[in-house]
This record gives sequence, C-alpha cells and structure tokens, in this order.
Amino acid sequence: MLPEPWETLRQAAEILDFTVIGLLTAQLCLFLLTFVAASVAVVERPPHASPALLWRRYAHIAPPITIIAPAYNEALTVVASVEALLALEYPAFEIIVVNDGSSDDTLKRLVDRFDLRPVARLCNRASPHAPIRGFHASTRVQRLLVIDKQNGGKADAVNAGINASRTPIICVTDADTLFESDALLRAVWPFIEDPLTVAVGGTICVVNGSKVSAGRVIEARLPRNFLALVQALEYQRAFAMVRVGLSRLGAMSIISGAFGLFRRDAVMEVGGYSLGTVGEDLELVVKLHRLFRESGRPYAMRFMAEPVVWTQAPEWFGDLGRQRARWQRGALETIWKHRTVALNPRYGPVGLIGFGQIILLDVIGPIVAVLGYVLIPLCWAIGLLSHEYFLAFLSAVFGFGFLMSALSLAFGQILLGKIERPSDMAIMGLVAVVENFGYRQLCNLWRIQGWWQYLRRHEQWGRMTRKEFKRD
Amino acid sequence: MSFLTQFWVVSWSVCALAVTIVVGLVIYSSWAKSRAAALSLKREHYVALLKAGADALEGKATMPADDVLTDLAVELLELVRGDEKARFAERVARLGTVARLHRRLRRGNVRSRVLAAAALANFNDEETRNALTGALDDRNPRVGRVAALSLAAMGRSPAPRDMIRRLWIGEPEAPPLIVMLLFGLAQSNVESVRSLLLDPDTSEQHKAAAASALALCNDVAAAPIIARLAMACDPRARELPRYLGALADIEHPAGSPAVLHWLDSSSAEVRAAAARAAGRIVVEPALDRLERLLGDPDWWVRFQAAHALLRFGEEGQGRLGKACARNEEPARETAMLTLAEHADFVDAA
Repeated sequence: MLPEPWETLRQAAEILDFTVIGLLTAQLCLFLLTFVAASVAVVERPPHASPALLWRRYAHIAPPITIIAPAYNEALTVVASVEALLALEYPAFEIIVVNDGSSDDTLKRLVDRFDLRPVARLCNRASPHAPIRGFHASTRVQRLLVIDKQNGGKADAVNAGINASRTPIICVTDADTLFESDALLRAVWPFIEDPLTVAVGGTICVVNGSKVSAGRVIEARLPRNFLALVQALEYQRAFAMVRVGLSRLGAMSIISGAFGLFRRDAVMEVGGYSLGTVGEDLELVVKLHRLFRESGRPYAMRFMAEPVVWTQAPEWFGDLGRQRARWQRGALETIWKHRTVALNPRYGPVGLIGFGQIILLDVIGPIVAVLGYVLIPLCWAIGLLSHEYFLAFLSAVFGFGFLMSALSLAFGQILLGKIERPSDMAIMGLVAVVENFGYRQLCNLWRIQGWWQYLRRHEQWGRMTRKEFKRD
Repeated sequence: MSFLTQFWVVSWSVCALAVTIVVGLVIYSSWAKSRAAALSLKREHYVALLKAGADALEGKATMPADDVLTDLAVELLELVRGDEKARFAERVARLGTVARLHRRLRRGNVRSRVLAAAALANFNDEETRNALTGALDDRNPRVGRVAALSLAAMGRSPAPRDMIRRLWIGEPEAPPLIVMLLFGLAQSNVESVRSLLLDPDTSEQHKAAAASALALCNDVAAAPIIARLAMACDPRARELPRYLGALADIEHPAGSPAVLHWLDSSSAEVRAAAARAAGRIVVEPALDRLERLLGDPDWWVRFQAAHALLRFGEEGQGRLGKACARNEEPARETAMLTLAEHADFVDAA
C-alpha cells in the first residue's frame, strides 16, 4: 500500500494522463470530422479545367482584382515576386506593393527594376494606417503601383493597399509569395459561381528547394532543410485537408495572409484589418463572419485547393520559433477579442467547429501537451504511473499524429499532386513519423512562448531571415 | 483487456493504417510516374503527327481516338482561333474525338461530364447539339450549366427564359455565370436576350443579368429599355446599380434620364453607379451635380464623380480646377488628386 500523499500524486498523474489522451483523442475526432467533410468536398470539387478554357469562359465576366503585397525588408525576393505577379494569367488586375518602411533596399530595387517614378493617387481613408510617404508607378508597367509608407506592420500596410485599391475584389498576399500563373483565374471561380461569396482562400506550398525562374516555380522539389521539410508536411495538412474540410462544413475561420481574395466592400465595412494584432488574417475572417451573421445577411466563404501560391518557410529554429509564437499570440488575441463567437450556436459552424478547433488546438492544446510531455514520462520514471498509462500516452501522441499526416499526404496527392517522385513521397512518409519525435514537442514549446508573450502583452512582429529563390 | 490496453491496440492499428496509406502512396507515385512518362511519349507522338497534318494521323492514331488524343485535341482547340480552329475541329472530329467526348458526357463522373460539355462547344454538329441539349437535364446542375454555356457559344441555345428557369431555379441571386450565358446567347440572338428585359415573368435579378450581358455586346437598342427599368426600380433594389452599370457600359444617351434621376439617390452605391454612368455617357446636364458629388460623404462616390468629370474634357477639368480653388474638403482634395493623377497618366502616355 502506498503512503497517502504518494497515492494522491499517483491519482493526479493518472488524471493528467487521461486529460492528455482525451485532448489528443478530441483533436483526432475533430480531424476525422474535417477528413469526412474534405472527402465530400473532394468528390464535389469543380473540374480542373485548363487555364485556356477558364480564360475563354470567364474573361468577359471575371471581376477586376487588386493584388496587395506588403513588403518589409524583402529586398532579396521582392523583384522576383512582383515579376511573377505581373505575369499572372488574369484579364484585369492591378498590383499594389506596399513598402512598409523597409530599412533595406526593397524600394530601391523596385524603383530600379521597374523604372518607377513618384505619382499622385486618390485614396480612401476608411482603414487606418501609418502615414504614406509617396506613391510610385511605372510608365512601362502600368499594372504596378508601389506605396511607400512608414512602418506599421502587416495589417497597417495592407490597409494602405486596401485604401488605394479600386476594384471589387482584393487579393491579399505577401511580397515573398510566388503565384502559379493560373492561381487568380482559379481562385476567382467562387465569386463567379456564387454572388454571395465574400472571401476565398487558396493553397500555400513551401517553395524551399524548388527551382524558380522569372518568379515562377518551374520544378517543385522537396526542401533539403529539415525544418522546411516538416513545414511542407504541415502546410499540406493544413491546406489540403483541414481547410478543405472546414470550408465544406461552413466553418472556415482563417484565410491565410499569404493568399486570400476578399470582396473589397465587405472588408471596408469591417474597417479593414485591425491594427495592433499579429493574427490579422484570422481576425479579419472572424470580423467578416460576425458582420454577416449579426446583420442576418447571407454570405459564403470558400477554400479552394487548386489555386496555389508558394512561400518560403523558415529554415532556422529562431525564425520558426518567432513565427510560431506570433501565430499563437494572434490566435489568442482573436479568440479573446471575439470570445462571444466561441462555441456560440448563433454563429453557426464557425462558432461551434471553427472556434472549437482553435480552442482545442491553440488555446488548451499546447499547455496540456507540454504538461504531458514533461510530467508523464517523469511520473512513469519515478513509478507514479504504470507502463500501461505511459504506453497509452505515447501511442496517443505518436500514432494519431502519424495518421493525420498520412491522410493529409493522400489528400495532397488527390487535390494537388505536387509530389511526383516516389522517393519524395517516401521521404514525406518518413517525415510524417519523425516529426512526432521532437519537432511537435518543440512547436508546442514555442506556442507556450506565444502564450507567455500574449500574457505579457508583447507586440513585436519578429524578424525573419529571407533567402533568394533557387534559380534555374 | 483494460481500457488502456485497448487504447494501446487501437493506436497500433492507427499506426498500421497510416503506414499502409504511406506505402500505398509511394506505390501509387511510382505507378503514376511511369504512367505519366508513357502518356507523355504518346502525346509527343500525337503532337508530331498533328504537326504533320491531320491526314498523317489517320491510320496511325488509335481509332476511335483514345483519351490521350482526345485530351490533346481539346487542349489544342483552346489555343487556336477562327477558321483554323474550325478546320482543326473538323479534322479531330474525323478521328473520333467527338464520339469519345459524347461518351464522357453520357457516362463519365461529374468532373469528366463538365469538361466534356465544355469541350464540345468546339464541335457545332447536330449530334453534339443534341447531346448538349440532353445534358441540360443532367442530374448535376453544374453539368447542365456548362452545357448551356456551350450551346450558347454555338448560338444554338434554347430560349434564355427557359434556360434560366431550368438551371438557376431557386437561387436567391443571379451569379455572373448567367451573364456569361446570356452574353453567349446574345452574340447569336440578341433579341431573345433583350426580350427578357420586357418579360413580366422574369425576375429583376435576371433582368439585371440580361442588361449586363447586353452591355457586354454593346447593344445600344437595349439602352432605353434598361433606362426605363432603372427609373422604375425601388431605390434600395440590389439590381439598380447593375442597371446603371449596364447603361454606363453601353454609353448611349438614352440612359441619361435614369442617370440624372439617380444621381441624388440616398444610396451611396447607386450614386456612385450613376456618377460613373454620367461620365461614360457624358450627360452634360449632370455636370453641376457631379461637381457637388465631389464633396459626397462616401469616398467611392467622390472617386466616381471626379473620374466622370474628367470624361467631360476641358469643361470637366475646369470644374475640378474650380473645386481645387475652393477651400471645401473633401471636394478640394478629391479634385486636386484626380487632376494630379490624370496629369501623371497623360505624361506617361
């Protein structure tokens, strides 16, 4: 018979074990729900028509689009990205690059490459942003406008772009994002098919390791850096599976800041992006949901897997840690600011499933997981927990994670087919196993860091190291 | 077996399932890669034969056309225009591609049926028209809509009213896709689309879609009808800005009364649409009101009014200049920036 305090500790350890297992099981159930919804969406998805056919069909009615690309210290990649944007296959679009007070040569490189000169521009002032220093346009490339403004963060920069835009649809992206040439033609489809559409998100793939020429990915390859490789799998899980499923359920709570199309009037109506937040993309989508739900107006938000853009994933622990902590802070800020939406049936699937998922994965998830990683092995080592408990914990952590990744790979192949070589697929399968041993735990630690920063009201965006694209 | 042991077993089963999926994916990738290589070779072979002329294909291609040749032919058809396209379509039809597409339209899955319906727009023969007409009643509305677009592109669509009723029944809003369909129809039979505007049984949303389609065709005869519809509209009607947009695109003076009528609307969206139309049509009696709209509380209205004034040439620029001189915001700033932007544009040109 164990002494009483020891017995109490043992019971507490068992409760912790069950809590961790319960949380992971709940996450898996939610994932399986999105898996079922994603399966339905895959069956229902529109056919993958050739760009030539899409152009023939929709060139006359495709709404004009303004692409807004905020750039902060993107000197290494900004020219290639803008060249790719200019080469997009779309009947009517304008590109607004917002130089958000870069301290490097971002503006100079743009001015030199595209022969930019100062111009005037009549702008709206509906969305708040830091003062604009000037507008630059080119006589040679008439689709391009560059806004040079004081630094204010991504949301602030996008707001400046929104104010300067004049088209019914805006496309928000990052200056280091590379578009596939038909991405806009495909992404605009929901706006053409359903006039109630207010926002559409597309797929983001990791460009690290791929060959790029003239701002276009000409050969998709797996990253050689391990961190980027794991992120490629994570992106596949998020885009090819979870968002497809959440979109089908009507519970899409986020459209990535790297590639999202929005109806400009709706974005204006909610006052653009909120300043002083680092989760501005999540927050904007929640504001749009609230606007339409609270005013009783019908609307639709869709995720389309086929339109693809490519982005650089961080290859250094420091960059990745800062990014993940920032994402965590953004999720926490949004969930607190819009807490009335959480699990509220009035907001339909987005309140129940969309916010439910954020709470489960972002709010409670990292805390419970890190407690589990630290305490359960410790309790097992000192004999507080039996082998059975410990093995159940291990199997929940690793087995479920592996299944989620394997299913995501399958969906990624069905929807996107970006992994062509069998050896690459085998590597991704291996990564799906390996990521469970160390990487996921590290991510949870970064998220705890994000929690801490949120509680300390830390407001910095964080620095990111950029690399030039690998050229052909 | 305890709960925890069962859980342990379930987790191992989950892992086994995941391993099976990954192994399956690797095998599939391997198969897909070799299949893609074989298809690529076959495509190269057909491309070479097609380059040599369709006659070279006859006897050397699999007859009737296999899927590779059919897909290749459809792809190439999207890249050619005019007489060349008609000749090419005729040649590939002789090779059996149309028969293959008909089969896909009848028996394929939804995605295959949709693509077949779209591709058949390139083959304007009776059998194809019948097949597409039959596809209008496909159990999946998406197939029916694409078939309708193809028929419209051929100029052989059923009456637009019937088409809209069949394919978009029960939808709360008219999507831009209807505009595309009506645009296709109007190119071969503009009267049938115009008649929608006068049909009392057609909803206002669909009339607005017809107006937009006619504007794309620049059907000036529709302008007085659209103007009448706009005049009779409820001020808060969702289709009113679309009517005004159509009048703006047609640019015919018959739209002037409606434009003048709605320049003072209480809805900013309507005022902006009317201001744009006033500029496009160059409605001279609207000059004073456009000048007044430079100080509108809504930015979009100010923007449209300023750009409308530019279209009046010297007279409009003079009005903008006067607004610059007056110390009334936001009209002064709107006028000043519009003129500066215009000067930049002129310099660039």
